[in-house]
Amino acid sequence: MKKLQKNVNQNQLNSDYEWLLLQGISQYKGQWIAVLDRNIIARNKLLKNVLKTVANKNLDKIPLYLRVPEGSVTT
Amino acid sequence: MFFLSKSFSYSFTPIQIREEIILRPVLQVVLMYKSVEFPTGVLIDSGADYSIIQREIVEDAFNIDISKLEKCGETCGITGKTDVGKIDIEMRFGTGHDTLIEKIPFRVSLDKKKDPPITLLGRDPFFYKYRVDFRMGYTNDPALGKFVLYPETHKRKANNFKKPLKYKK
Repeated sequence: MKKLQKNVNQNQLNSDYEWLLLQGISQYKGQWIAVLDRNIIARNKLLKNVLKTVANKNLDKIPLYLRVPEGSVTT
Repeated sequence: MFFLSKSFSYSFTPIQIREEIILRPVLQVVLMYKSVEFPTGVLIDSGADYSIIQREIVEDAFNIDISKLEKCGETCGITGKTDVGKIDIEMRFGTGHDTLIEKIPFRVSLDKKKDPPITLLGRDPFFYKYRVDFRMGYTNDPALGKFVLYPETHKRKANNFKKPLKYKK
């Protein structure tokens, strides 16, 4: 996980999430996805692989990470 | 908590499961532990006694060795009973202008097989500080619903709540 001096921009996070909702996330069920600037930049079943892919891109911003559950969620 | 009078509204997250569209109240947050920030979504869960974080976030994003966490209790959910550890994580949410930060004592399953499919934001302590409105049926299209967070404000002094309230007849 990249450590940044600057905080994650909350507006960027909200904007990327709203964009993600419009794309539909059902296709990513069971996977972790990384979203940045309205693009899905990495996806994998394991978070560590997504983090590794993102780290290799040497980005100056931290993406949004989300795991899309496969089935219904009950607690 | 910073006092704010405004509210924060969020769209539900739709997901298709077989033929059905499920709408989930997922809050966009930044989880912060030491110097690491992890932007993600957490499921608002008024039915959960407390918050539970996914093991992968703890291990892979925050580099915490879960096996070294002390057992702080056990939890019973749909997946069965499991021992849990506790980890205090700061959670930031809101908008660019109005950002709120709360320290959440997340539980984490000590059993790999009993991990939740998404991080859950339960009642304690979040619901003691925020009121959450679920507005799912105010249009004909349920996808247009939203959930709204309000920082909780009490008009009555806390001392007045010590005695149980009498029902009005």
